[in-house]
Amino acid sequence: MRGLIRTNFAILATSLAVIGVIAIWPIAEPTHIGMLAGDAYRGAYLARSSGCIACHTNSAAAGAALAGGAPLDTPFGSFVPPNITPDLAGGIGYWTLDQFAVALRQGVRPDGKAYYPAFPYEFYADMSDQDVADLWAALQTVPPIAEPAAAHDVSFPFNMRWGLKIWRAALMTPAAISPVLGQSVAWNRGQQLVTGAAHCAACHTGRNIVGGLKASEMLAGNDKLPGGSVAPPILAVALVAKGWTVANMAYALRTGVMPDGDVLGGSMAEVVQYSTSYMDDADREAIATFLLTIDGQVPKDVARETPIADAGMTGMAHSSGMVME
Amino acid sequence: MFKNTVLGAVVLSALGAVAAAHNGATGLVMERMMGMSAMKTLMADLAPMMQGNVPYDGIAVQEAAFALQGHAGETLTGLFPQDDIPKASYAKREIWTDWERFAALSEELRLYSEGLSIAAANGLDAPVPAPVVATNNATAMPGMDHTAMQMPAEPEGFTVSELMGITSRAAVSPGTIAGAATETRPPGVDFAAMAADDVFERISQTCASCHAQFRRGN
Repeated sequence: MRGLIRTNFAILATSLAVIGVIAIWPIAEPTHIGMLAGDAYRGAYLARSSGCIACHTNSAAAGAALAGGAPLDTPFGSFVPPNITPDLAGGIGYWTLDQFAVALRQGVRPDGKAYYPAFPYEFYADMSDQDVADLWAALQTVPPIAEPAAAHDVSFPFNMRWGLKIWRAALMTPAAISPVLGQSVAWNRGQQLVTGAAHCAACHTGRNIVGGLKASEMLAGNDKLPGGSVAPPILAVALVAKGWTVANMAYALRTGVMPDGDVLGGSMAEVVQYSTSYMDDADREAIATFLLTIDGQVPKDVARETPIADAGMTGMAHSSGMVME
Repeated sequence: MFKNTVLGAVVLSALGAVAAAHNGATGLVMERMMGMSAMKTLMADLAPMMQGNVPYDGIAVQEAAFALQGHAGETLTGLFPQDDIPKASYAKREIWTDWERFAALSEELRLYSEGLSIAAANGLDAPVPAPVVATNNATAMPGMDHTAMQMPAEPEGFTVSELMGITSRAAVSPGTIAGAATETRPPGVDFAAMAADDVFERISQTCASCHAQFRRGN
């Protein structure tokens, strides 16, 4: 009996010691951006492209800009995107630029604790110091809101943040984007947006039981999105089979209208509404070019068509047999 | 061309009805699915024209706009009496819990459809140029960061305030609308001075806004 008690005590003590070690395990790599000046306009464009505005603003409830987003209900609990206005009490006004960089690119809070991967920091890992400084400058333009966002509602055992350090060690896949010299400017820009800032894989890739992205199913679709939504595969072959072209995909990212005339709904409608519709045409075409590339090139019948309509001749149909001199 | 459009809409509506029936939709649910299917067909016909990929036909656009108008407003809301949602339906409960918003979007669709019938004669060129999203003609090979990419200069695109969501783009630009609950139709929109594709974009954004909030699935 005494031996059993001793064994249980040893197990308990060891467990507590392991948890203690994990809890103090430093996960943030030091960052020193210093006083790098940011461009608020570039930062604002990047904030839109990266989904910051869509996520941290509860538009459906007419919430103030970046004062906290709508709760994201997941199998692990309900996550509330926090207030990231420059308010000293309710927002992130007391942060330094370096702390912001660590939070954004490494997913670590100023107090050293890890963020839940509901915040897609993995996709922002490759942002440059200038990108971070630009975003920081843009955030300073937002009116401060003193009220903090509601706390997450996460059930045991996922409410123990120290466990995220183990998750990070095993499953975190920070974006590492390398330009491909043999590819076009549009393709490279598309790669940067799709695999980085726009974080398409966050929804369009399946996740394992602890929320890690399945590397073997990258962009192959996810039928278990929060709220019961489904994200279809956006691999090139699947997209081409469904009639997508560079032109109509760029148009869908601007307007929501799909090739069959239906208009995107669910969370993708929100992506269009709050993010891609603010992008410029070149960026939307870049995303489409990257996603529709098969074996290194965009198939000829999928590439950007040359407009044939004469917009200047309003109200007139040009029949195919018409000859103009 | 419009005859083909109408014929296509009828055929696709019938196919949609068959598909819906196969999915177990009956009565009002099937009726609204048919209405949505007909609108989808009209949108599919209009979209290539609005992108300049097929020749613009102002008369066809006007007739399609009238058809869309006929499906919107009270005609649309009349198809959604508060009731249990059958399994076959894509409707979300929020339609009835936020009926005011749903009805506003439906009316907005009617107004913009009417607007398209007015702007149809303008083609893809507005008599008075409207602000548009800037086009980026970057030519440099991108590097590892966004710094290497040219981004649109502020005067050509949205303002910092609009990009950050501090002010609604609907309040200052006729290019877009229909988004969040706070965004309302800008007063005094002169459809006669707008390009047809600008009005068409507003229609699509109204549809997207409604689908995002009130339709199951993407």
